[in-house]
Amino acid sequence: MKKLFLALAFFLIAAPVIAHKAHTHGAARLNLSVEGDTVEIGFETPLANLISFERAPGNDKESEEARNMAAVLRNPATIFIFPRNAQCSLKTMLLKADVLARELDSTPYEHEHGHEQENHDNADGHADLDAEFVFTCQNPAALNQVEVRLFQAFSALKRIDANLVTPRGQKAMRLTPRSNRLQW
Amino acid sequence: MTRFLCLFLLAGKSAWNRRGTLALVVCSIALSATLLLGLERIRSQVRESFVQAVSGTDLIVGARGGNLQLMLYAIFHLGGATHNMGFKSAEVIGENPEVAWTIPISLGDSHLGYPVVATNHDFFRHYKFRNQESIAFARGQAFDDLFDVVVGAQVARMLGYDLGHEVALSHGGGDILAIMHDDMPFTVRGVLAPTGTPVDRSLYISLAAMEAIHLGWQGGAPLPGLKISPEQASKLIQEPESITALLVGLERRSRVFALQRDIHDYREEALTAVMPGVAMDQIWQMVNTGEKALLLVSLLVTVTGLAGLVAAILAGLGERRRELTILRSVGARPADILVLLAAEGFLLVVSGILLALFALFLLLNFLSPVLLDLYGIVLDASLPSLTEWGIMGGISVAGFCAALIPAFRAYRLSLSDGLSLSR
Repeated sequence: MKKLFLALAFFLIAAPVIAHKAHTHGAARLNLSVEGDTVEIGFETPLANLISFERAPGNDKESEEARNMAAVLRNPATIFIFPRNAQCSLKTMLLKADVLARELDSTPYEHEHGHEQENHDNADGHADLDAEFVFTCQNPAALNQVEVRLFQAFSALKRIDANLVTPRGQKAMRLTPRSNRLQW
Repeated sequence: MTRFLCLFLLAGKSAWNRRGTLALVVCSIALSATLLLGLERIRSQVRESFVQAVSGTDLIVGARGGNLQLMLYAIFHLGGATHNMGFKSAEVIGENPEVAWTIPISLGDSHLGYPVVATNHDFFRHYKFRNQESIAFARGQAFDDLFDVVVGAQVARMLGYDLGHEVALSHGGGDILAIMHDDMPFTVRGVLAPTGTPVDRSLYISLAAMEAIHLGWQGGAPLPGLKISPEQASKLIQEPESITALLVGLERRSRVFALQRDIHDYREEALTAVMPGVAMDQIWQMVNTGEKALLLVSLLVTVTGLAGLVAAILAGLGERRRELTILRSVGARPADILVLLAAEGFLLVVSGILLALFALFLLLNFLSPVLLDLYGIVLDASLPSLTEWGIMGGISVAGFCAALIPAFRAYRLSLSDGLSLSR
C-alpha cells in the first residue's frame, strides 16, 4: 500500500522535469552510430573548448574567431578519418550554437520538444555547440575505426567521452589527445 | 642439431636425478603461472559474461539516479534500486514508433536467495542474450494463471523444482527471517532452458502477481487480522502503478541516442535511460585500476617464482661441479655447458606452465559451478585464448632468460675449473 501511495503521490507532485546537461570545460561528448552504410556522429561541447568566449561575439575579432572555428568543423573530412577502403563521404552536417547564430549562418536552435530547456545557454554564463555529421560509406564492411582529430584543431579540448553503437554492439570510450581512435 | 637434442635429453636426465628439489621449483612456477592465467581468464570471461546478458537490449529505463546502479539491479539483480518508475511512463515509451519491444521488470521479492522478477509475456518473447538468442522453455510454458511461476534453469536444478511444484515467495532480500508470502503459494508452470545469464538464477512471475502478493501489506509487513485469500486477490489487483525498470529494444539500433535524449527530456517523470553496453564499459573503466593492481601483484609473484628458479639452479651448481667437469672431460665444450643449463631452466619453466594449465582447468571445473550459482557468471574451461598463449609464451621466454644467469656462471666455472676438483 505504501508503495502504491508513494507512486501516486509521485505522479501528483511531478512537475515538468528539466534536465540540465553537464557542462565541463575541456570535456566533450561524442555519439557515433553505424547502421548499414550510414555513420552518424553527434558532437556536443562547451563553446569554451573551441573558442575563447561563451557568449555572442562582442566585436569583429570575436566574430572572426567563431567563423574560423566553424570553418574547421565544416570540413569534417579532416576531423574524422575513416579507413580509406571504407570510402566514406560526408552527406549532411549541421552546426548549432545559440549564441553564434549569425556566425554559423544558421537560425537559432528551435526547441524540438517545445519547452525551455538546456540550450537556453548564457543564462548561467555558459554556452554549448552541437554538431551533427552524417556520412555514407561505399564499403561499410571495412569500417571498424575512426580517428578523431578534434584535439589537434582545438587545444582547449582535453577529453571526449564517446558512446558508440555499431553492428558489434554498444561501447563507451574515452578519447584523449594521446589516444584519439574510436575502434570497434 | 642432434647436439642440441642430445644436450636437452642430458639436461632432462640430469634434472630428473635431482627431482626432489626441482619439483619444488616447478611447483612455485606453476603456482605463479596459475595465478596469472587464472586472473586473465576471470577478467576476460566475467566481462564477456556480463556483456552477453545485455547484448540484446538497447536501453534500460528507470527512475533518474545512478546509471550503473540501475543496470546492475535490473539485469543482474545486484544492489538495489532507489526509486521505481511509473508504469504509465513505460506505456508511453512502448508506444514510440522507434521502439520494437519493451519488457517491464519489477523486483523486490526473492525465493531462498534467488531473485523474483515480475514481468509480462514480452519477457519470454523479446528478451535476447548472447548473439540474439531468445529465451527457451526446457519444460512447461509461460505463466498464465495469477499464481504461476516460471523458474530459471539453475533454480530448478539447485532446488529440485519441476512442473507443479508449490513455491512460497518471501518479501525482501530472502534471509531466513524474511516474512514469507506463504498465504499465497505459487505453482511452477515452466522451467527455462539454461542461458548462462542471470536469468538462470531467477524466478519469473507476472506483474499482477507481484501486486497481488503485496495486497493487504502495509509498511512492508502484513496487516494483522487482514487476510486476503488468493481468490480475493485475483479480483482486487489491477495494473501496477510502478515498475523497477523497463528494457527497451529498438527497430533500428542506431536510433538509441535519439530515444535516450527523448526519455531524458520526458516531462512527466524524471527518467534515466541507460545504454547497457556503454554502462558496462564505464564499469570496466572503473574496475580497470583494481584490475591493473591485481595484474601487477601476480606479475610480481611470477618474478618471485623465476627468482626461485635462478636461486635453485645457482645453488645446485656447487654440487654439480663434478658432473659438469666429467662432461667437460668427455668432450663437452664450455658452450655446451651453457646450453645444458639454459635448457634445464627452460624445461623447468615449461613443465611449470603445463602444471599450471592443468591446475587451472581443474580449478575452473571446480569453481565455475560455484560462480554461476552465486553470481550467474559463466567461466568455461575452454582452450587458452590468444592472450593466455601470450602469457605462457612470455613466462617461458622470461624463464629461459633467467636460466641464462646460472648458465653463464657455469660456463665461466667450466672454463676455469680443471679436473683437479674431481677428487
